[in-house]
Amino acid sequence: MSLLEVRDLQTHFFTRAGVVKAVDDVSFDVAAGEVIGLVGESGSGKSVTGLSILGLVDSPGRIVAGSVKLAGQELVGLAPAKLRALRGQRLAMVFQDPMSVLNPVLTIATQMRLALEAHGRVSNEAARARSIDALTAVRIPDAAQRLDAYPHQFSGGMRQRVAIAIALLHRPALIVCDEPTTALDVSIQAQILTEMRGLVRHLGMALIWISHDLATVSSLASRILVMYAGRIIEEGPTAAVLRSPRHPYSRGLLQSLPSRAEPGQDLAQIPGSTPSLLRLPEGCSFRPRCSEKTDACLRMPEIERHGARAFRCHHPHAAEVP
Amino acid sequence: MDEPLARIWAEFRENRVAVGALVVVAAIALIALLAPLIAPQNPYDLASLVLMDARRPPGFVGSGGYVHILGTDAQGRDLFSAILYGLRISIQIGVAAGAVALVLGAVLGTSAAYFGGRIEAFIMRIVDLQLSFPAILLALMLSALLGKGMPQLVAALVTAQYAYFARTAHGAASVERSKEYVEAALSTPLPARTVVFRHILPNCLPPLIVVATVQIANSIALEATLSFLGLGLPPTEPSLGMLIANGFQYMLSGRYWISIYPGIALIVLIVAINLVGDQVRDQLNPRLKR
Repeated sequence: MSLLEVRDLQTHFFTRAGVVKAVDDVSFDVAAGEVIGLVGESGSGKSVTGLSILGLVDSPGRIVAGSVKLAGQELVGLAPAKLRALRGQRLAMVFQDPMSVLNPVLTIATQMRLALEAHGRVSNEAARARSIDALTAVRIPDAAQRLDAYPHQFSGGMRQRVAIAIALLHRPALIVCDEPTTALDVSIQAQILTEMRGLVRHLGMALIWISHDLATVSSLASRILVMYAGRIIEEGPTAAVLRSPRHPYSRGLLQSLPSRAEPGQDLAQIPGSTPSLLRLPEGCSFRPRCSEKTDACLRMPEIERHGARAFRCHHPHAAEVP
Repeated sequence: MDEPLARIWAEFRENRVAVGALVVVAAIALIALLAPLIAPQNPYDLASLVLMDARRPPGFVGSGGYVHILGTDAQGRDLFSAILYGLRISIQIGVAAGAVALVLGAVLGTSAAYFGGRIEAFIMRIVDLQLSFPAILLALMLSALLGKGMPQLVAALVTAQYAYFARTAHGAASVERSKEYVEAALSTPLPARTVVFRHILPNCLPPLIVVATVQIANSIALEATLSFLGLGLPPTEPSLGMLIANGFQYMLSGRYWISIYPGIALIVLIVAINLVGDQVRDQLNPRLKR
């Protein structure tokens, strides 16, 4: 049994302008110790998928259907108090902006102790020892000393490490990271990615890494899920997806990576932009931007599974010849 | 990584006027605290007052055998002693009313921001309603209703002033409420009061401290006004406002000292507190940070 089972998840936002289907029919599994990369453009529903798993979707959004099971326990429809008890302890989330996730007027020690106290009594010494352990795990030098510093005394990368350390405090089974390195320098990104890889291996926790950046995801995740307009349109082992994307959108994403371009050559682009979730085109959502579109695409393609790989397209690119 | 307090003091020290004002405030507070030791006479002990000595000019040697350096009032009170005791009352009332109003306003404002919705609307509309009345009018009505005495006076001043704190706390807390660290803390089983008191309130303190310095000076002035109008403390325990009022009728007959000296003491105290408050405001306002 997988650690996390997401089945037919639908999260809709009921706005004045209409119903926004931010997450539409999303299903996937995450095994313990596995790193999943959730990739897509802004507005593809990847962040809302992450928030839905933790039950953090705010009004006017709501999970309207589907199920999210953590180690067999259903999370959708769970009482708020029970969900709160799980958050931070079994489930944790790391956000994009390390500036706003830390309270500017409390020392790191106080904030970590509050995070520990949230899930039961803990003595001052024990709280300190566990905080130092967590900070050391994310490679903050002089953790014992830095514990008494305030957030503004840390650099952006260090602050994100502290946020990750707070997420690690209770040794959660699953951590959802929502673009945690997007706000950081490329060199710091690489460091944090390396450390995360080590942590996952060392602690055996599952990780969902949400990003718009295929490059960071590919260096970390063993499996990639590509989202477009609220649906998963391609899924598979990282290496296989990168080598031979089946969906035209995944291929477009790969081709638009700067590292793939020759010097002096224009970057490849996917024509058009993400459709408004309020006015999705009929049939396949990617149809208006797709170079392979035919009349068949006026019908929403079902997800097709072939072994470890899956895609949602009537005209997939040829599978790799082994 | 020097201590925050040391850093604040280093910046404060750069403003000489503010440092001078702080010294004056501290000196007045010290004198007021030690009033029973310094004052030649206990102005509240009616038995020790000698009517023969009434309305004597500064420098007069009374029947007590000591010099009335600031003269005496209409009951024969030594004005210097009366001013010391009056400052004592003013500071007590100012600090007490300011502190109670600060706590009450901070609790109301942050709770309003935390709960949101109807509770927020209810609390903040009451605050708005109250802010639309002049504070002096409210304080006048309340002290007329509640009667004379220290607790009643403080209650009247608190009612007239908590709204400023509530408004300030609500504004600051609303901003903090939407920050991710508050959302994150609320998504765990951490009790709501811990989130409010440990996460939200400390972030609202700088603006509240600024309002507090201004409001302490305001409550001192308000108390003096009420006493001047005869609504503050009983006449047997004259505060500065009442001393000024008592001497008012003798102003035109040349006995200026009964009103003037308590007035000067009051002005010096209020101006000094305001100067300190201005500097604190400049330092805590992130928009004026150099």
